[in-house]
Amino acid sequence: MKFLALAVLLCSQMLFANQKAILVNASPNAQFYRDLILKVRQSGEFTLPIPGAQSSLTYSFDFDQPVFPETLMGDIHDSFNPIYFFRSFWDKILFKDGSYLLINGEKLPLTCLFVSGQDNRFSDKKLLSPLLPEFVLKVYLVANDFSCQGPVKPGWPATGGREENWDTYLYYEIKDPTIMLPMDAKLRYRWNEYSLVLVDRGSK
Amino acid sequence: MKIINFILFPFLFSISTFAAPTWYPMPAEAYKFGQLYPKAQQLLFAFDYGHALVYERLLQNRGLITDPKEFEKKILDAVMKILKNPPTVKVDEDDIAPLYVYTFPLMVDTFDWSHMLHQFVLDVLATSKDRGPAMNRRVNELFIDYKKNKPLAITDVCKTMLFMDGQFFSKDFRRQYPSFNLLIWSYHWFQIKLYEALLKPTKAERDIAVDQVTNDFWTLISDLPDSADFDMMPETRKEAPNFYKAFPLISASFDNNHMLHDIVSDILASKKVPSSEMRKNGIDFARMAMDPEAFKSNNCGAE
Repeated sequence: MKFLALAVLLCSQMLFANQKAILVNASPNAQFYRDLILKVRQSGEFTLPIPGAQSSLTYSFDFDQPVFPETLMGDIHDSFNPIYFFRSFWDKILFKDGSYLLINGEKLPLTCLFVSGQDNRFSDKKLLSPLLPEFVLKVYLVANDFSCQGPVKPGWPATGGREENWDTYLYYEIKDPTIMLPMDAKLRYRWNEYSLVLVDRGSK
Repeated sequence: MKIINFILFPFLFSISTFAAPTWYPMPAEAYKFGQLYPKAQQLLFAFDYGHALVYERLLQNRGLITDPKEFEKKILDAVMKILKNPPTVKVDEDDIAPLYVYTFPLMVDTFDWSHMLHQFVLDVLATSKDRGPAMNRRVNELFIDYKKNKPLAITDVCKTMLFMDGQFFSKDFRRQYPSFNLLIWSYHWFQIKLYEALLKPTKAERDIAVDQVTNDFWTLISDLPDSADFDMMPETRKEAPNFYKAFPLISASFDNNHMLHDIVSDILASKKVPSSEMRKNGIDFARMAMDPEAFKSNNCGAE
């Protein structure tokens, strides 16, 4: 009986392992995510809503070299049904000089993009719905950090100072890659944070 | 599974960021139409972009549009790209068009509530095993739930076209942007035609009919304005006679919704509406859409 139970357990593990291998192999490679990230809007306009006051925030950037040779990826498998998994990915790409963040007339150098993303398409199909995004890209357009070390300071707390490295950035989320629409935008400006609203006037 | 639930659910709750109405609990059939007909469903999601983008850009560029033809060409190009590569998820209007949503709060909530009914009716018609009284009963249950939200429910008493075309600002949108207007009417035609297609008795017939409607939609918008030969907003009674016969009240409510879409387009495009009056007009006309007595038609259902 013990042998039978062991055999069933081993067979089920092998079956899961096979299914897991099939699904992981069918999932996109790092280049897919790099290509997706390169579609992030290279310019945009937002406003900081304050009653009775006008504000304007625009940005523009050109991609330069990526910091990592390829997009970093990590999968968390469902422990009860390992064929399903949840994929995260991260990337950093430097910007060319001349890229900027313009906040009410103050022009700051935009230096790099950091993306923390998730690809939900390989999780349990029962959970998927058109009300849940297939992708979520958390986009940071970072100002003033030409080496793009962040969001957490390397080696912190041993390296001292604040835990986070970036004092100023524009943050938004992309939940539909169709037109890479920025949502839930925020500005961190010298450590203060504000919610922003997208301004879409169409192309000039 | 628990881990994945834990990671996914925060996005469920963060996806809506304004005071939008919520249909809770959602019907068991919710969004099942898209599992059977993903191309058609994705087009419906793309229409949300189409409506919202044009409203937002009209508002953001209000008083600055010197060349309406050029403006129309650019917005059509942008929307066509989305229609050809449509979203697989439902994107909230306040993410696409935050200024429009802020300026027309009652209209937006009214549309949202009505669009949920649109969606769930499609879901029931696409998936119901029973193709007779039980299916009709289920659709009518949803309609009762819809009407319970009285502050947002568009009336099911049919209105005359004067509601849409008899205002001081009427037809300004279609005069300035004829192609985009026909695109919006083509969206509405597509929605109405889907109901009719889904009333076919067998799954095979429904599949063929939905494909046909989708192909016809692409033909309609293939060379705007010439390709869409609408003189007037498509009406459910004419375009979906079987659906109209089975659900006359829902049909009237949907037609009133579509008229309200034209009204907001006109308010946004018309120079006769001062910017300072837009918010008030938005509320007034949304209230009229809910009012069974306003612009009531005396020959509802007449040929």
